[in-house]
Amino acid sequence: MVSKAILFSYTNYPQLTANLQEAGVKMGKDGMLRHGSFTFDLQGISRAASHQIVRHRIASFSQQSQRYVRVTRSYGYLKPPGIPEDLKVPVEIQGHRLELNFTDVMDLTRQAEEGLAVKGIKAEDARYLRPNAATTNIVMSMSPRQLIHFFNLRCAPDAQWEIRDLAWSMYASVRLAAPQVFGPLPAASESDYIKKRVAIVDDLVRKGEDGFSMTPPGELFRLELHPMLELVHPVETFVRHY
Amino acid sequence: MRVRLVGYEPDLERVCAAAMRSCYSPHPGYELFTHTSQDKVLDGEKIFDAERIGGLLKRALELGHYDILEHNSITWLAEADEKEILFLMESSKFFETSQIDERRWLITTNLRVLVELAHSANQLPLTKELVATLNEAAPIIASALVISNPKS
Repeated sequence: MVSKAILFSYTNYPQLTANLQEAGVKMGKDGMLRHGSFTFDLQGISRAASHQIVRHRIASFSQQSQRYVRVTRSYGYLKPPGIPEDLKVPVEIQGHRLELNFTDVMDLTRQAEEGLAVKGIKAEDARYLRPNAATTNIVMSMSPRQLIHFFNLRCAPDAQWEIRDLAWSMYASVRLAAPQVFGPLPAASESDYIKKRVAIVDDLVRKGEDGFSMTPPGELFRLELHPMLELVHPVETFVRHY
Repeated sequence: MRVRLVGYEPDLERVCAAAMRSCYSPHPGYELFTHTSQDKVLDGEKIFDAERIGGLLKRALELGHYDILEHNSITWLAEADEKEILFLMESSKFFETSQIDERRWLITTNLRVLVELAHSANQLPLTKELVATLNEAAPIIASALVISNPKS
């Protein structure tokens, strides 16, 4: 399953700045960081990643319910690329020895959850079988100041690969959508890894600017990160053009 | 004017309604947000028109499901004293303020905070003026709360 990060609502800084100038107010970049909001639709991310994301405060989240969305319609999973498809592990169930790979286990848990639902078990109970790899959709909003904190932590080389990929995708999105407030990450001064990748994002955003500005209002522009910005897993990155 | 609305995201009520519906739908928030015509089929979903958005937002207000109203920001330039600003900052973690000069402040919060202020018995003239701007930024919510502009 391919994850997507869609920046679909955000503060229109050129308009905000123009309105302030009309009132005789000039705000610097740092001042503007407090005033605004960026809303992403993160699609097809694992529950393992969403658990990490919702730890960030101050932010706002609306996440797909496992109680109200039927398992058969929503179930997907994200296999960590570090686990080979053909890697099997021995398990023993009721005296039967089996060799299962990651996909087999995902299939088993899905079948078991569906089976419980068929036998009349409430979705809110059947979902306890769902693994961390199960995918979810979440709408999240953060102010620019909080986003910079998020990026500093989650773009770091020691961050977990899935949330790190998402964080870089989101960082590239906001650089394209709001260059008035987002620049190089503060953490770049302490990490060569971050510094190199910020430079790659600079380049990708510069290359994407023309296409973004020509995107019809209300439509999505796809920002191509791969292969220049190496990600562990594919994250399709989109920004809505105003 | 003591309070001047200077910024808010376009379609912010549609964003909030899509966020709300995404909690209960197999379809993600952006797909719902853009489900505005019959051209696109989203299994089990009604068209995301003004009536649908209004219905979802009114339901959120009835249920007290205010967290979906946080997916936005609204910014004002306001004349206020420090006591009034302190009142705002104490009332919600979502208030952000920057002092422009001795009297003027840039204030940012979200729709949830405005709705809570509108319901609050403990209001200052400043908060009433902020709430009154809901008519422009979020007309569906404003009409549901029967907010009227004190100057109109």
